[in-house]
Amino acid sequence: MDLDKLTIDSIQTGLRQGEFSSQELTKEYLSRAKSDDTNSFISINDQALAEAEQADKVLAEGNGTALTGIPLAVKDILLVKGLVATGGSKILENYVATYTATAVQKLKDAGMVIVGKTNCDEFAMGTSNENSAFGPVLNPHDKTRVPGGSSGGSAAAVAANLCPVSLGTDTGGSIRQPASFCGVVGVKPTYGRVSRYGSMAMASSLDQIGPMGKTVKDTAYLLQHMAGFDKYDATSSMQTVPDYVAALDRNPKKLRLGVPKEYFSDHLDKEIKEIIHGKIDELEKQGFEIKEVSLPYTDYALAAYYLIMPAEVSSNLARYDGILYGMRADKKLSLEQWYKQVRSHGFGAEAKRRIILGTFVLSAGYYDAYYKQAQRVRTLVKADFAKAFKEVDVLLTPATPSTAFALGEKTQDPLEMYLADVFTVAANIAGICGMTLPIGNDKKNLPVGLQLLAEPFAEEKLFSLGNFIEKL
Amino acid sequence: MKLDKKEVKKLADLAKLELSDKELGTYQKQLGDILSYADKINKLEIDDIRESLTGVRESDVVPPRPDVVQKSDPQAIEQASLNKDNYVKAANVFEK
Repeated sequence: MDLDKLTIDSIQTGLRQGEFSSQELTKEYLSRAKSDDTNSFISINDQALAEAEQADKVLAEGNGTALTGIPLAVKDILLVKGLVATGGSKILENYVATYTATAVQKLKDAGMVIVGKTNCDEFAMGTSNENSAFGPVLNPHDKTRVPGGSSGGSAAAVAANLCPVSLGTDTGGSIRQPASFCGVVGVKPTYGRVSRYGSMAMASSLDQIGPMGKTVKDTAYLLQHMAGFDKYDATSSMQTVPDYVAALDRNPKKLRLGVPKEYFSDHLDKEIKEIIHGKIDELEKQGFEIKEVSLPYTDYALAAYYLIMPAEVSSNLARYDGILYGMRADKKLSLEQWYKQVRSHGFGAEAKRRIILGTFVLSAGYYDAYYKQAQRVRTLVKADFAKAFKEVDVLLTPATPSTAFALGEKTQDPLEMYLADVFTVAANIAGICGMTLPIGNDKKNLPVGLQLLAEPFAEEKLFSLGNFIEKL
Repeated sequence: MKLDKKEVKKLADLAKLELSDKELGTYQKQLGDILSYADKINKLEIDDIRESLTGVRESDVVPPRPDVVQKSDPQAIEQASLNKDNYVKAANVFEK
């Protein structure tokens, strides 16, 4: 079995034609995951083979969906009933989920087999996966480098053939950036497209769950099943879910493409710039209409993100007090001391940094200057995109300012780390959808990603264009 | 914007975090750097712009669902550090 070449379609053909069973396939992935040297998984699902057996029964009866029997890795931020869900944090080291996230449940209902829970930055806070309490994930393309974050384990697991597809979450680029660093496809759906129920909240106005895979089509299959309204998430959208898989075959040449000039400044690595421009030239030769557009508030979006996000983090992480679940304190302590003991020992450095920053941003004297001002910037960023999407259908941008950087390179300087998010955060601030897909390698042989952005609920455009670019 | 150590300690106290002296020093510098960077938004004169609390378009906002009372899950309560007879116990609020 050449796992490197397996896609959802080829697995489904193999399963239905009896070349292999879901149990055999799952066993193969599990054995790889157990001998993995990238630290992609925090835990393995000991029910995986039982789930695969069930899928084989459904397949034997000639039933099931396009996803029946397909193994899936799930970011440890997402809850799966009966499995430990750490969120990459020591504070939840032994926490067992009592319910399953809606997005995961929908994929389980479609017949997918969960192989395990993937490593990530603590509560999804990071760009390098070095903020996990369970050690960093190593980039499968170069194990001295980071896989990106925060969904680093989900990206690395696909790249290292430990699973064919995975789930991540994206608050400021946490699906698109690691996908780009690891050379896989990642999709951040429109805010509200996928229910956030059962996803540990980091910044509730920005978080979205999304798929990662080797091909654009694989991510379309996953989103098809995950998307839709959920009564348990008041921010999930009631808009009908279109046929994303059918969108793949639509002629993308009718789409008007835009290149935002602010994304090609000096922040961007020269090699990445060349590779992306090369791809844009190719598309032009294919007959696409491509024009330069401007998103003037791009730089301010990053500053606003690092104020809005910690403000929401400080509120969301207030729930980790060691009383209802998670790490415990010494029974003899008073409530105040209990809180402090649990939170001081349970949270890592980045979580503490963002909690303190968010507490400051929301404090009475500074609320107007930082929090409110950042929310005004959000209005401007939304308006930037709304204007651009009147002129074009899809924006083409770099996904990251550099390719995967070395482990430890930015850990001493959080601001330097934050600046690496410059091309991805605006999509979360504005609630639009985005995709990154690999389009080549730099001279160090590290993957380079291209980002596609489209207006809210226009994922079909991303799939149609992404599928075309992938085959170019 | 720079913060002094006393301010960082006060913020940590509000967030129920206990920091060592070394941590206080590190965070003081790092938070100062981050805020100095983020301060660029205060150069914009945009007082007349309405704030957006989310990226969602107003036309896409879903109305709140009606509240429905549901029984609590005993498994959820079992996760509590201290629990008795299907109730969660907390530490002493007042020191003895």
